[in-house]
Amino acid sequence: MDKLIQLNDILLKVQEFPTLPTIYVALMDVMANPRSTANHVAEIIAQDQASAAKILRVANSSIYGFHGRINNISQAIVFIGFDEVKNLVTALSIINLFQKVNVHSDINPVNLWKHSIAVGIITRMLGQHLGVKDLENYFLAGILHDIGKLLFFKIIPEAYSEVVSYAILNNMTFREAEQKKLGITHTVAGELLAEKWKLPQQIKQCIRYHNIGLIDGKPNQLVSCVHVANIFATMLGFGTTGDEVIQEPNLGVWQSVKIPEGFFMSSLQKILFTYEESIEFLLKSN
Amino acid sequence: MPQIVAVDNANEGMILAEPVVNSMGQTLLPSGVELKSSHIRILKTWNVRTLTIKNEDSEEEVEVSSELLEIAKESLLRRMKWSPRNAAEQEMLNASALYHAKLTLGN
Repeated sequence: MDKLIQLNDILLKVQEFPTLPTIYVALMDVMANPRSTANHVAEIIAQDQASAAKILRVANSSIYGFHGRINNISQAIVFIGFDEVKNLVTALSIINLFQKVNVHSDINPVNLWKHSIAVGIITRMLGQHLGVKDLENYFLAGILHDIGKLLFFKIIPEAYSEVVSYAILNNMTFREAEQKKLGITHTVAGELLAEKWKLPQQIKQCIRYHNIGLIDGKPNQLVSCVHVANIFATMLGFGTTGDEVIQEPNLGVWQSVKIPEGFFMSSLQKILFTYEESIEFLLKSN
Repeated sequence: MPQIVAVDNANEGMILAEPVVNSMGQTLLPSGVELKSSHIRILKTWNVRTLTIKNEDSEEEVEVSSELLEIAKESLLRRMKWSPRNAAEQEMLNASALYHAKLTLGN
């Protein structure tokens, strides 16, 4: 079967893809320095007023549950932690970067982001209910799991629209159609981008393995949570992934996602509320 | 059941289920107050972000008929091409079906 575009061309476009904004890079530098304090970090974030305001809104949202008690970035660092603040900066930078994706198909990037935000929220709530101590990365991993799809829409919009139509017409999953028509899936391309951006290892794993839910057949709690959250968000119809088919959970994930009975039913309202609250301020352009 | 809403989404006529308290612990509005547009404006100036309001349906929780629930479940199963194999998967299906059924009712 003829490929729509040469694999090398795709790989080149991934390598040429923009880097993350300077605020992110500056933040990484400061955080890598053990002598940095919360004030150093707060200073950098404060230079970008739009980001600072959004970070405060997220920190005060139902995702973290501080309901308006966080008044400035230094407090945000104290309450939700260095790494989580860094993750929010990352999420906001990346959402911004992909906001102007032109799509020539039925899938709208806003709907893809809505889906991704829902997955982020559910992933974090799953982690919370599983008693995970280190919840950092849970929200970000969910938000970024499908970054490869957005990447394709941005770097090869025409070819990817064809892939989408091909998948829908032939009742295939996106990954099957991508492999056939592009020679590379959104999960692998997404991981390459995450690699280029030097995102944390856990995030890269979720981008690569969220469809399978396991890493090389072995359970991984965060990857499994993203896997389950992705399926649940699709069933609820929060945003769209374009995939009409609802994927079957990999049975192996339930080994690491031993969720208490009643979680899905009893969390429904909180998920819905947090979702509606978050998409409004995360997707609103500055 | 009380419901949390963002102040940005609050409407006139909603009834507070819990008092609105500022960061100093002072009560800005007691519970039971019916919100007026002036309240909402003031809450925004005070930087209050969320409110707990009485759910309008709390007295008569919207009943989803078993028939509607079945329809919602079937339309999900058509897209799933798999059947739940354990309690967690069953609950994912039930919760999603309930959500879709309620959406149909315009709730």
